[in-house]
Parts: sequence; C-alpha cells; structure tokens
Amino acid sequence: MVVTYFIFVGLLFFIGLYCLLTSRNLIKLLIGLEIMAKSAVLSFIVAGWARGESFVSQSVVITFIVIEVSIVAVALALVINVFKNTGSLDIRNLAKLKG
Amino acid sequence: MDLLNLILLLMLAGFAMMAVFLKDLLKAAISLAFMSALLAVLLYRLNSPFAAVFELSVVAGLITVLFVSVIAMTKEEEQAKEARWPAYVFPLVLVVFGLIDIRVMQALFANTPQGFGNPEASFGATLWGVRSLDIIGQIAVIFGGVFGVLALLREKPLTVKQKEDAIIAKDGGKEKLW
Repeated sequence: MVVTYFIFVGLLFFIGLYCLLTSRNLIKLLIGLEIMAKSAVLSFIVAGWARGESFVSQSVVITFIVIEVSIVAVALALVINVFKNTGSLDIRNLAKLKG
Repeated sequence: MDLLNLILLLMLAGFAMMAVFLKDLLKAAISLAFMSALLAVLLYRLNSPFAAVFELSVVAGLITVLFVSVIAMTKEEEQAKEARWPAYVFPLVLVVFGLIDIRVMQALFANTPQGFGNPEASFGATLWGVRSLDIIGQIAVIFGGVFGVLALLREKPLTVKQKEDAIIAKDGGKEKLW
C-alpha cells in the first residue's frame, strides 16, 4: 500500500529534522539534512510508482541528487573553513560572529 | 505491500537512527552510506532502476567519500559535546509523531487514484525530451557547486617575507636565499 511508504517518508523526515534541531556538531547537522533529502527522494519515487509515471519521477530525482551533491560539497567546504577558524565543529561557536 | 520492501523500510529507519545517535562521526557517516545503499535497493524494487543507480553511485559513494575525508581533516581534540536529553526523549517523541504521521498520511493518501502513465514513454525520451530543461539547471548547479567549493577553500597568496620564513623554517637557515 502506498500509505505505508508515505508513513515511512514522514518518519525519515522526522528523524532528519530531529537531528537538525538537537545536534551541535556541524557534520551531524549535515547528516540530518541528508536523511531529510533521502525521505524526499523516496517520496518522489513512491509517488511516481503509484501513479505509473516512474520515468518523470526518476528524472526529477536525478536532478535532485545533483543538487544534493552540490549542496553537501559546498556545506562541507564551509565546515572545513569553520574548523580552520574556530578549531571546533560546535555550532554554538558560530553564535558570536563579529563582522 | 511486499514484505521485503517493508523490511527495507524498517532497516532504512534503523540506519537513519544509527546515523543520528552514534557518537562516532565515522560510524554515523558509514550508517548513512548503508542507508543510501538500502534506499537504492528499494528504488530498484519500486521500478526506478536509473534513480537507484544514481543513488548508489553518487549518494552512497561520492557523498560518503566527501564525509569521510572531511571527518579525517577535522579531527578535533575535544569533540563537540552532544546533549544527552535528545537520545532519551527521542523514543517518546517518535511514538507521538508516528501516531500523528499515520493519521495524516492515511487521510492524505488512502484514496490516491492509480495512474497508468504513458505506455509508449521511455526514460531517455522523458529525461532528454520532457525534462530537457532540467539538464540546464543541473549543469548550472554543478558549476555553482564547483566554484562554491573553490571560492571557499582558496588561500591567501604568501608574501615574500612569509615565503622566506617558510624556506628558513624548512632548511634551518643553512641556504642563502638570494
């Protein structure tokens, strides 16, 4: 049943969101973002599969994966810069940014 | 619903929780990679082999390599201490959210009309024909990512004094510079 897949989509999204809201480590935050992205991928594919239009959903997912990789690469570069400047991956160290 | 798909979904959720709650970042990244691999299998079983190949090669492969290399580059003496309460509160919050999730999803998707798609369509025709403008967007995003990383990781060029200091530090000042 399609509903079961979407229940798991919601659960995965929630796990990723929980990680984003509660973690302090920058890499963990990115992992949370990745989990949310995976739930979005699953949602697209299940929708396409249920409607019998999997080619369109696959095309959208491939575009989404390309965007995801670019975002992760740029975000990890930012993480490296933050680590060089603060010597830590703690997100709370970024709360006192001065211009 | 196929039993194997249900098992895959449960394992996906399990690996997602492991990725969130494991303290070792390397193990968390590997859990994420396992999750991607399982998602690829699920996508293949849901009649989406091309998306599965992309998920397996790009997300499970490339992104994991990126994560592992960044974790290796940013080894800190004192890791950012995570609060303990999220792990204790999580089961309760998960149950509450699960109940709401089941209700909402049943209300939204119980009567989803089944579509039949276009039987004459092919993946190539769809990607390069119907969704051809997406390719331009993808190229733009790839270049955006590449130049974004280059811009963020560039270093200030050394001054002559700094170069001299570096050479002196290297050979202990034995060689004359000029």
